[in-house]
Order: sequence, then C-alpha cells, then structure tokens
Amino acid sequence: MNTHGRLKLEGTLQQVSTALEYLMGQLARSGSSDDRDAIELGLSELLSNIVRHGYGGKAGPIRLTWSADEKRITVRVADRGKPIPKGSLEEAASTRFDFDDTTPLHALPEGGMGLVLVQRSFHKLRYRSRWGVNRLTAVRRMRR
Amino acid sequence: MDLKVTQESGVSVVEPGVKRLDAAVAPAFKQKVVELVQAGERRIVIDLSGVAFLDSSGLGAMVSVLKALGGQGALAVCGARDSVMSLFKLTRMDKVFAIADSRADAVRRLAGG
Repeated sequence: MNTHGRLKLEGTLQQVSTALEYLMGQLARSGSSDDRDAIELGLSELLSNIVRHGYGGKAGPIRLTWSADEKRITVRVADRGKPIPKGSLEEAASTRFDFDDTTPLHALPEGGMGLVLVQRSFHKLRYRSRWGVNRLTAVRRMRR
Repeated sequence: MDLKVTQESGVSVVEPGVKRLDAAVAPAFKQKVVELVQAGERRIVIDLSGVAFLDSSGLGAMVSVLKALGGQGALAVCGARDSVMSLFKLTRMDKVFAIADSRADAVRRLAGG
C-alpha cells in the first residue's frame, strides 16, 4: 500500500516515542512485520541519537518524511544538531556483536549499539552534513 | 514510570509498566531496578510481556542491572515478544541473558538456585 507523510519534532525523547508510534501506525500495511520492526528500531536509534548527542539533550528541530510502496520504505531525517562523527556510520556496518555467556560483565556494552542497529535495519543509508543541516536517507527494501 | 515489583518465591519480578522501553524511559527504568539491587534484591526477573518495543537504550539498561548484580545475583528475562526477541538475537544478548519461556519458568530458575 502506498503511503507517505511528514512529521516535525522539537526533539525530546518523549516526542520521538510518540512520533514512532504514529509513523508505525501509518506504515501498518507496508511490508512485513519484520520490515516494520526493523524500521522502528533503526529510527528509534537514529532519532534518540539526534536528541541526545546531536542536540545535547536540548530540544531542537527534527524533520522526518517517509514514503512507502510495494518495493521499499524510504525515510528521510533532517536535523541541525551536531553531526554523526565522520566515519562512525560506515564503521558500524562492519561491527559485529560478539557476546556470549563467557563474556565478562565489564565488557558488555550499556550503550553505543545504536549505529550498528541502524546499519542492520536499513539496506541503504546516505548521510550528508552541510551548512549546519544533517540529512539522512534510509531505505529498506520490503521482503514479502 | 510505574515499575511494578512483586515477590514470588523470594524472587523480585519487575514489570517495566511501559509499552516502549526506549531512550525516553530507559534511564528511569535503570535507576529504579538498580535501586532494588542496592536495596539487597539479588534475584530479579524482568517480565517484558507488556513491552511492545525495546531499543538499545532499554537493552543497555538491562545490561546495567546485570552489572549491578555482579557475580552475586541472577537476572532472568521473560515475556519477550517477537520484535523484542529479535533485538536480543541481533545483538547476541540472547546468549548473555537468561531468557525464560514464561514468568513461572523464570521464577523457578532463580528460586531454585
């Protein structure tokens, strides 16, 4: 089912939660439940990072637009916060989670997993930071 | 956030009380459960049956609880829905956390030991 829309957030974590609930409602008939779960996770990580790191916890504008057809869901996120550090998003593509029940407790991460999860959630990611605006395009191809 | 804690067979069963255990609520959740550990609770079950969405913040909060228990306590998770379970598997945290099939099973695992 084709759908598209846009949202503007003023950048609190609570708004991120609400925005995602709304967006997932809009995407309820797009893709499989795995597709939707992946998008929700990837976006939660991205948007939370923008609020916490991009804007340092202060409210700042975030624009979200999306479109979905039978083949793919495309989401674009724009913000004016501090950009994702150069190379971090690309590096995350080759990071592997490596834990098991022998991993010592101190080696288990309490954070920092976000970008890896973003990479795992989308098939294509493009990120550009120019003139104070960060723009991310994320595409997930649907699996039937 | 309205954490619900019940005692069953000497085990503290914690229900987060939110549908989304994400960045917005993870710090409060972590703080409240770590407080339980600091108050002396050593056997904790986190019942995720009411949780429809978990992200790395929520997962990280659970790791913090595991660390707070140190080697001197036990943590089990139950009620993980499909999407929640898939995050555990994606991050390999299903190999780190004891994930039980049911709340009764989780309590039994920790009560026995």
